[in-house]
Amino acid sequence: MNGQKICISVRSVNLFYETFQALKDINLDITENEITAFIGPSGCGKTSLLKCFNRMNDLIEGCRVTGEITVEGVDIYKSADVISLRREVGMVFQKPNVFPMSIYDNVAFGPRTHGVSKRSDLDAVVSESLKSAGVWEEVKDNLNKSALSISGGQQQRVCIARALAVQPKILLMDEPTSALDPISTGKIEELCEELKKQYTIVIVTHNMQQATRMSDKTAFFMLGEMLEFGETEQVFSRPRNQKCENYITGRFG
Amino acid sequence: MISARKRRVSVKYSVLKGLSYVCAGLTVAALIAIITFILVRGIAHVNLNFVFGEYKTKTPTVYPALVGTLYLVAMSVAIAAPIGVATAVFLTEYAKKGKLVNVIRVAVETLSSIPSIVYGLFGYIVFVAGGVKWGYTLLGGGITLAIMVLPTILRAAEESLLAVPSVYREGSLALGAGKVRTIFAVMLPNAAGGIVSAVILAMGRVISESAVLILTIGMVVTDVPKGLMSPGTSLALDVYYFGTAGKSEEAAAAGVVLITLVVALNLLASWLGKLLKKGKA
Amino acid sequence: MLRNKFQRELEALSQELVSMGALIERAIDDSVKALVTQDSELCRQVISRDKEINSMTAAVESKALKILLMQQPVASDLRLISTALKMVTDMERIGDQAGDICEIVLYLCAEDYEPTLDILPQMGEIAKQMVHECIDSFVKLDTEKAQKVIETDDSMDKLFVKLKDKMVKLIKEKPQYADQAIYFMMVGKYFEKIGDHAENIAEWVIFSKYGEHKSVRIL
Repeated sequence: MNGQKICISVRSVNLFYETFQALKDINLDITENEITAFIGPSGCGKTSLLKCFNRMNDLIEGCRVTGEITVEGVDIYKSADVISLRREVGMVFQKPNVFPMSIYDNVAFGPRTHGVSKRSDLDAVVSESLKSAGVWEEVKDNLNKSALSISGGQQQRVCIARALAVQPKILLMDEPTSALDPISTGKIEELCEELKKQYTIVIVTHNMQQATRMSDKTAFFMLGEMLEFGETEQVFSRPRNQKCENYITGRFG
Repeated sequence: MISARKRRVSVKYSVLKGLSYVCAGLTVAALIAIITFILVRGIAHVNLNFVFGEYKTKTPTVYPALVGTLYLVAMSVAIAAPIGVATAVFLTEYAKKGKLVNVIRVAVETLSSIPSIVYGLFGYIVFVAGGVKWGYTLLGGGITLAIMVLPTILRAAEESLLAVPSVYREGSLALGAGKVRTIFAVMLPNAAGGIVSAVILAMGRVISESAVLILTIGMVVTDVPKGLMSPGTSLALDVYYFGTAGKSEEAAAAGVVLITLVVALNLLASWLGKLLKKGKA
Repeated sequence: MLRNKFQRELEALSQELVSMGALIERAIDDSVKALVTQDSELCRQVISRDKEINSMTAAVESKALKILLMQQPVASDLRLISTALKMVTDMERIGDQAGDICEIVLYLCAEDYEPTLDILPQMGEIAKQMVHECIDSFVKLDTEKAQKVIETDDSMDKLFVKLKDKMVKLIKEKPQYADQAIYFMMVGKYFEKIGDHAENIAEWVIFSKYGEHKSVRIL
């Protein structure tokens, strides 16, 4: 791919939870301004790999990572600056986890954490982020309402806005629509199509149709190994790996 | 047609149901009995002067006791709450599973099962007659009470913190917030409901406490305490004093004031707890 | 509006079919012209342009299959995509037939025509009309128009019978022009087949709207 920058590079990565090996010798490049999907059966390691990219795996006791993961040119496991890594790499979780605060405070949480305090600056960031997340129109008159009072689909988009507010380069999404209804899911898929112009998105999904609708590239994982990686169209029409074919055709899960 | 076995089972259920109703009734009846008894004996004597007036030998008031009680509540909460919450934060956020955590837990469990009279004895030995030898002081009583209610606050704070969904912590950390910010901006505000409830209940315990105070603050019923280092009295002690001095009406009246305060605090605790929990998940 | 990407892909598919439709209409038109004016150069052009029609066929098939893969269409979207897949086959055949007509005209160019050409140009015109209308009916999802195309095939068939009679007469009366008569019959047959293919397309358009093909429920 000409002129396409690699923004995350994974080399010989192994991940262990105590003695259990969850990832085996993973090698992969994530291209900028694309949506890359990770698919595979439960427990295959796709979420574990995703959580390496922003070192959220550090929270799990007994979790060890070997190998090299380079994000925007920096080896993230050699550098100790987790805080700025998590600014570059934002995350949206499976179930919307808005804080029990107002919508405004939720979105302003990140900027406030990183030193933005002037009201006018915060107002600007909050409205920009909510607009980028496609939820501004629905909440602009209720910014002081508790974020828990809006619908699940809106909450998830507020979570996206909250992640965007710290101006990351990469957005990690861990099954972001699995808890949502079809219309909210559609809105978020549509949103990602827009967002990828500015951000790089990596999404873990159980829903293969979502991967085909949304993603440019797809990686198939099984039992800790990455068995197939390529353009989504190719992976789903002519997979090179037999296990991948069996999985996507539903012959076994 | 109901089989004989089914009939036996349904009879058993009815008997059990009846028994549980009876037990509930007894419990409620007991509570009502106590309150009614005290109210009947004392309500007539309760008036503004009794509560707020200057203590005179002919017309004893509980004003000194009220002041003393307030000092004690303030002190014990001011000492126990920060320590309890901080320890809870340490246990839930920082401590790794290991010896230290177990030691702390055992200590807390032990503390909470020590009889209050033993606390009183401790207070006497450390603050009154030996140790710092302050004599009878409100401060001595306050510190002792703080140690007594610490386990309650600590346990409640820990439970409230553990009850905060870990997704909030994850969400905060994923935004690049450090541990401290996450604790103060997300975890503690969420746990506030449980913590505040526990603090208010601890206040209730302090107000009701008598054994500890007899041995530490001196039971000076006549004068309003001048400061933390003065001896004093509390509402519960006044009940004891009036009761043993033959002033049964005053005792009952003091009892009424005490019960009212405790009930009010309990209601406040549950209302505040619900209120703070409403905004949360 | 949701599924903008999907919407754009459907429109691109439609557009491709319309462009292909224009190509085959032109092929029919040119083949009639070549027949009437005995223009062998034009014939060769039509024959070579068939390659373009074939590659457009592959493009349409590829687009349609990709949409099926990536977007999982249901309901009217699914009927639309399957109609496109069916249509494109008939359209490709129409392109082939226009080329085949031109191949025959190349033989006919060897000498002047004996009979006056009246039926064949008529058939050619009807063929072109039918193709134009059936594609139009697909784009507009106009089932009335599609129905008209289906009915028009009758007049095509009638003309073919008329042609046959004329040619039989020609062979009987002037056996030295038997070759021409046979060639004209073949041209007429190809026009008639083009009409059949246009009728097929129209029937699939009706399926696209109602889920019934030739009055049999399919989806």
